[in-house]
Amino acid sequence: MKIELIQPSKQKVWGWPAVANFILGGAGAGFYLLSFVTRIPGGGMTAMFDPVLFGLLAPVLVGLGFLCLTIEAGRPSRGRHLFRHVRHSWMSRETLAGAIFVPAAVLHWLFPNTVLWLLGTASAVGLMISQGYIVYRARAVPTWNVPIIPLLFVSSGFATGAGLLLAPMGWLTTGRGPAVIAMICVVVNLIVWLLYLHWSHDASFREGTKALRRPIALILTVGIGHLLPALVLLRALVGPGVETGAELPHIVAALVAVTIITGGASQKAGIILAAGHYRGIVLRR
Amino acid sequence: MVIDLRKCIGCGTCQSVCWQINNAPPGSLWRRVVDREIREYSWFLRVFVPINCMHCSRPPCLKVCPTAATYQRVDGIVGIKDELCVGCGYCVVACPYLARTITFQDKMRFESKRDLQEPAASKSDRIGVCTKCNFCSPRVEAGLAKGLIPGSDPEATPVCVNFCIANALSFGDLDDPESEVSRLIRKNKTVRLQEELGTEPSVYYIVD
Repeated sequence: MKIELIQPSKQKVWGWPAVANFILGGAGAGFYLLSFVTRIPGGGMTAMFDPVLFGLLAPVLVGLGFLCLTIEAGRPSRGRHLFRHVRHSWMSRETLAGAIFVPAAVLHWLFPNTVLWLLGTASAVGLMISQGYIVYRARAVPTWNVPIIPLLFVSSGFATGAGLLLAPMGWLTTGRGPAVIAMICVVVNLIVWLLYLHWSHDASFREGTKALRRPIALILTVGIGHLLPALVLLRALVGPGVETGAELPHIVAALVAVTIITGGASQKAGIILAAGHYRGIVLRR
Repeated sequence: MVIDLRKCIGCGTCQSVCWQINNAPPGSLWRRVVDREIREYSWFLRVFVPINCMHCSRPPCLKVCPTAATYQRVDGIVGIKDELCVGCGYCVVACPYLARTITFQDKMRFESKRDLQEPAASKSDRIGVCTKCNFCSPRVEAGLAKGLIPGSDPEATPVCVNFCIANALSFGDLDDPESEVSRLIRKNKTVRLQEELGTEPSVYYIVD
């Protein structure tokens, strides 16, 4: 016989500041990693992709994410202690990755060299992975404590990063690199998102993610955030005008970027705020 | 800890005395007594289930804490070093027993009025950090230093156990087969909460 002692309830410990950190951190790291991919020969970027704004965007976003957390933490002045448990805590690892990433990315922009690039790349990867694992290790929340969460945070980070990458297309690029990358990231992220929504048949998971499966949420996360940009990008890449090398019009590229970023942001906001329900406590006699 | 649900009358004394003696911050949930009515055939059964930190053998809160403020003593008690906690809330979302709380405001239980005990609870070092039941570890520690036995000697036993008017709570060393708690677990049907999560809680409930 099961007696439900405490019903599932919404978590209120992590709010918008935590969501902002997950969005900005993932987007910053994803953008940083993707911006290098597009710089390889044939990737479509020109030397124009090195102005101040883009060299510093990733570390600024990640830094802002961490700054948001100081609003939420009870004792932010004790932040120096956050490195004490790197061996076990993913939050310590995230802080360490961020603390390496921000200066490494800024220094690499100032003095480009391979060591700083490697440091920035490794810490960006670490940051994305650790953010996913932070959420995954929250045992009290059944919608977070599923193994697909780390993968979802990585794919979502890349998708939002690709959105940022796509934004300047049309005036900073000469090729289709960003559009191809954005297309791949959006499709992969959509697949992972749909897998997450149907990950478990467990009642607490189904109940917790119910808000994410509502039509209005699906329109935002799936329709506007993924399908719409994917279709526009698909048309630009394989549709009429491809032979002439025509690129996405500036305004269209910017709008597609906004929809992708909106999709990625709404995913993380949905997971943390709408689906963040504590599991109920049950006594089994 | 062993809690005999057959004896618990839901008076809430354990909860009140815990707040009072430990100066638990306002709004915190160090201990609560859940009152549930369940239908059994044609009658209703009312059950009272005291819930506090389960002091798990494999506590999920321990590994997630980024500052190592959460620690586990050799005897299994899980505690928090207030001075290290940043109040990030990670342990709160990691604890499947909802046993941890962060108090952000120095407000007392009865609106703006403070009872005689509450000024002591209004310590600023408890605001903005996570707090929870510590099995009265300072008390247990002091008792052990005097050569007393937790669970047998009141001075070395958590206050909730001492003050339980129905004698429903027992405390002691689960590793000692001769202790009162080990004997109760052997002789009765016991359950633990959320066992399927693999946390190995140290609080046992005697049912039926």
